[in-house]
Order: sequence, then C-alpha cells, then structure tokens
Amino acid sequence: MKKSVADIVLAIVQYISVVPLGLAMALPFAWVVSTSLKSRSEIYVYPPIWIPSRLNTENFLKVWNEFPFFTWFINSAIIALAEVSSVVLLSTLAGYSFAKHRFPGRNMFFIMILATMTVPFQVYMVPLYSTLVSLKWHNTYQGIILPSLLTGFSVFMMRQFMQSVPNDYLDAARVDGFSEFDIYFRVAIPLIKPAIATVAALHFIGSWNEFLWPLIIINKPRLMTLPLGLQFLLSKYGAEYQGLPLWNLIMSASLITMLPTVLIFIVMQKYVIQGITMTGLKG
Amino acid sequence: MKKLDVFRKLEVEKLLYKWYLPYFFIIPCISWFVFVRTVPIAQSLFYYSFYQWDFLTPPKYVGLMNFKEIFNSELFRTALINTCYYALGYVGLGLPLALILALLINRMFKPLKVSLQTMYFFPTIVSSVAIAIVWRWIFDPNFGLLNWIILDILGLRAFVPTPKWIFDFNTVIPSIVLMSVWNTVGSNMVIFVAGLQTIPEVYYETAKVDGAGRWLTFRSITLPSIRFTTTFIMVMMTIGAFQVFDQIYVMTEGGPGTSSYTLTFLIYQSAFRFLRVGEAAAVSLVLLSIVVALSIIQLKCTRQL
Repeated sequence: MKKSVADIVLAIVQYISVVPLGLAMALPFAWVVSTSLKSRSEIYVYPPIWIPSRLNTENFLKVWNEFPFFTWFINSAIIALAEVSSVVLLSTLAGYSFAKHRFPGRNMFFIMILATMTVPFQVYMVPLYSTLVSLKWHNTYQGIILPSLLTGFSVFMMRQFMQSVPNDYLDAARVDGFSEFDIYFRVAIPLIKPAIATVAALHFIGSWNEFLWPLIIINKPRLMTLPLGLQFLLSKYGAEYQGLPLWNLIMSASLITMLPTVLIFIVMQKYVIQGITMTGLKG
Repeated sequence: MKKLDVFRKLEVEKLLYKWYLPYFFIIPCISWFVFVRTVPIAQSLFYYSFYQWDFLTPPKYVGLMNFKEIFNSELFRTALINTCYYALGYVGLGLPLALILALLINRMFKPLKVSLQTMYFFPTIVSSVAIAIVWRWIFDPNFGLLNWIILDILGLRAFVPTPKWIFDFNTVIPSIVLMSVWNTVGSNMVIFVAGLQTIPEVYYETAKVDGAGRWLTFRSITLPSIRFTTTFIMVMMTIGAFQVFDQIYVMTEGGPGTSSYTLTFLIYQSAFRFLRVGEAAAVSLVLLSIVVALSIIQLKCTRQL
C-alpha cells in the first residue's frame, strides 16, 4: 500500500512523541537512584545535582546496618514465599476440581468466590482484624499471611486453565489406575505450568508490596515487612537530621524495597504481562 | 476384547470414584473463603454497622445510629467528595492517556514496542509505599524534582506562584491523581494494546479503500471494537480509585487539614484511631454500594452502545 506524506509525518510525530513520554516515566526512577547516592550535604541543594560528586554507596550499608532493614527484608521474603506457595497449591487444587469434577454445590461455591472478589478489602478488614485478635494472631507471621493465602483471581484463572486440559488425558490416566490426586499432580499440573508461573509472579509482586493489612495487624518493628518498615523509617524511626528527612537514606531504602519485584518482573516479564492482560494487577 | 477391558476398568473406576472426592480438593479453598471473606463481609455489613463498638467493651446495638452519625458528619461528606474528585480525575486523565499511549506504540516496530511497554510497566510493579515516598520527595516545594522542572527547566518561575503540590489544600488531590496516573498508566496501556491487537487488519484496509479518513476510522472502527476493553479498564480503574489508601496514608495522612481524606482512609481512621468500629462499618457499606453501583452502571452503559 502506498504511503502518503501525511502518513509519514504522522509516523515521525508518533516516534518523536514517545521519547518525552518515556522520559517522564523513567525520570522518577533516575531521581531515586541519583538521590540514593548523594551525601547528606548534596540533598538540599538547588538547583538539584543529578550526579553526586562521589558515589555514596555507604548509604545502602547505613540503611542496612543502622535500621532493622535486614529483618524487614527477611520478613518480607518469608511472607512472600509462604503466600506464593499457598496460592499455587490451593488455587490449582480448587481450580482442578471446579473444572473437572461434578459435585453438589459446585456452582454455588464458585459464585461465592466470584461475588467476594469485587468486595474492597477495606470493607471487611475490621471484622477480620477483630477475629484474628481474638485468636491472638496479631503480631504473628500467620496473622499477616492468612488473608493472602489465596485470591479469587487465582482460583478463577486456574479453573479457566484447567478447563483447557483435555479430558482424554485424565481418562487415560484413570484407566492406568492413577488416583485422583495423582492425576491432578502428575497430569494436570505439568500441563498448566505457564498459568502457575503467571499466578505465582503476580502474587509475589502483590504480596511483597502489600501495605494496609500488615499496617493493621503488626505494630512491632521486628515483625514489619519492607513497605511497612519504609513508612516507619520516614515517619517514626528518625531518618532525619535537624528535622529534615535524610532523603538519601530514604531513597536507598526505597530502592532496596523496589528491587526484588523489579527482578521478578525482568525474569518473568512474559508471564506478568500475560497476567495483566487477562485481568488487572489488583483483585 | 481389549476394549471390553477398558470399559470394565472404567466401571471399576466409577465405583472407586467416590462422591466425596472433589471435596478434598476444594475444602481448603472454600473454608478459607468462608473464614476470610464471606464471614467478615457479612459481619461488617449486617452486624457491626448496626452496633457501637470500640474493640474493648461489648458491642451495643444502636440500630441505624451509625448511618445517621456518618451522614451528618462533615468528615464523611469531605471524604466522599474527595474520593469522587480523585476517581473522576484518575479515570478522566488515566483512561485517555493509556489509550493514547497504546495507539502510539501499537504499530511501532516490534523491539521498540516491547521495550517501551516494559518501560511504562515498571511503576506498576513496585511497592506503592516506595512510590508514594519517592513522590513525596519529588513534590517537595523547595528541593523537589517537579518544581525544578516546571519553574526552571520550563522557565515558568516568573509566571506562576511556586506550586506546593501535596502541601496545599487545592492541589493535594490533583497531585495524587498525577502520581497514581503515572503509577498505573502502564498496565492499562498493556491491556489496551492487547485489545487493539484483536481488531482484524481487514477492517482498516476496507476503510481505507472506502476513503475513510483517520478520525472517522478511529471513531467507527477502533473505538467500537475495543469498547469491552475500555469498559473493563474503566470499571477496574474506578474500583481502584475508590480504594485509594496507601498514597494517602504515606504522603498526606488525610491532610493538609482534611483535604485529602478519602473513604478508605476514613474507614481506617474511624476503626483504628477513633475506635468507632460501627461507623467504620457504616462507611464501608457506603463504599461497597458505590463500587457495586458504578460497576453495574458502567457495564449497562457500554452494552447499550
């Protein structure tokens, strides 16, 4: 097809306009990296310096050593791992059954799951909190983990994928004398590995970044997760000097908090984007 | 003979396949949903919203008092207005921007398209608390990045008074809108791109043959073809906007004054600061009704288009 002058001009405009927009997206991150490497005297300088006179990498060590950042990092890692494993296990089990079994109450249960999916967390967080407090689960790992052991989205997605597993495979395995659990584990699971990767990656990101629930259920610094610790660092821990926040330390801390999800995204990009395309990031 | 064996085996399997087997698979899932979702939702909507409770003394039945209380309260009205204002700004700015970006990059040369998509995507995967903290620094009126760009790089210092962003009554909500749009535009763009890719190329070729202009093609082919994607993103964005919390808590704590109080922040404050669980539950009932109503209205509207 012949291209008119207008087409070419439009294409050029298109390519050019993406550059400032891309820059606008990247600038805040560049600002974080730049600030995190500044010395205390370079933060409050106007106009701002982009490249500090010396790379103050000790900011990271300072954050790591002077604040309980290592503990927060470990807490976040333990919690994320526990939540991801639980989501993968429970959602595949339920998804398999919803897709491949017939039993009384199947539709009712599934509708219950879908219906609660749209309810904002803030609607039921207070009763959930009071229940867990009466179980003495506040300020415990299990208290933080419980509300994220599963999501409606993951069950829904696993059901969709399990439906795509051919029944013939399952019947063949049944004929060979596999138990129902063996069929789930050795036939169905290997066939839906991409879906598992998607759910796991999205849940890791969600769990690493979770803020509101840990904020409610935890008030001991040694049990805090990274986002909570970061907020604590800014507001109460005194990452400040003469009343002014030490933005270099706070930005180093923010960078450490951001890094794991960025790494997961880089490694599992395909799955994350696929998951987003199927539904939004936050259930 | 062989076939018969198979049938016999299937018969045996049928006997072995017990009615209770599926429940082994779903009982962990169902019990979690009942314990963590269904029961607390029911408690919040049908129990706590009719009781007065402070977490300590036994709950006291007060009928519709909580609702009367919140509908007469200045703070609730402020929070409701602020939340609607935020949602309007967030969807009104974020949705067209995501669509424009998607249209811009959709027909680009593949490697560039993928790398741009990745770049726009980064803010959506990092911690909202980290982002809020970073933007608090960016919004700093004296040493922040934004004022430096606006006042010195664009040279507007002589023309506008120094913006105070999140530290000013009038600009706090628009500032948070700006940050949230930056934060989520990437994921919405990716969904739009996926939607745009489902439009058959033939449609565009036919339109070109028929001599349709660019605007007409966009209006009568692109937009109608992605109306389900658009509705989906609109619903998700609106629901997301009504749940805005992290940014408010980290950046402004509802301030200056009460100018950035939102419904979710009010729920949090009522329950955990003022220890008024009943009022928090009443506000959450209002929040839930708004979210459900908006989703239904938006879905109905796009069906009729």
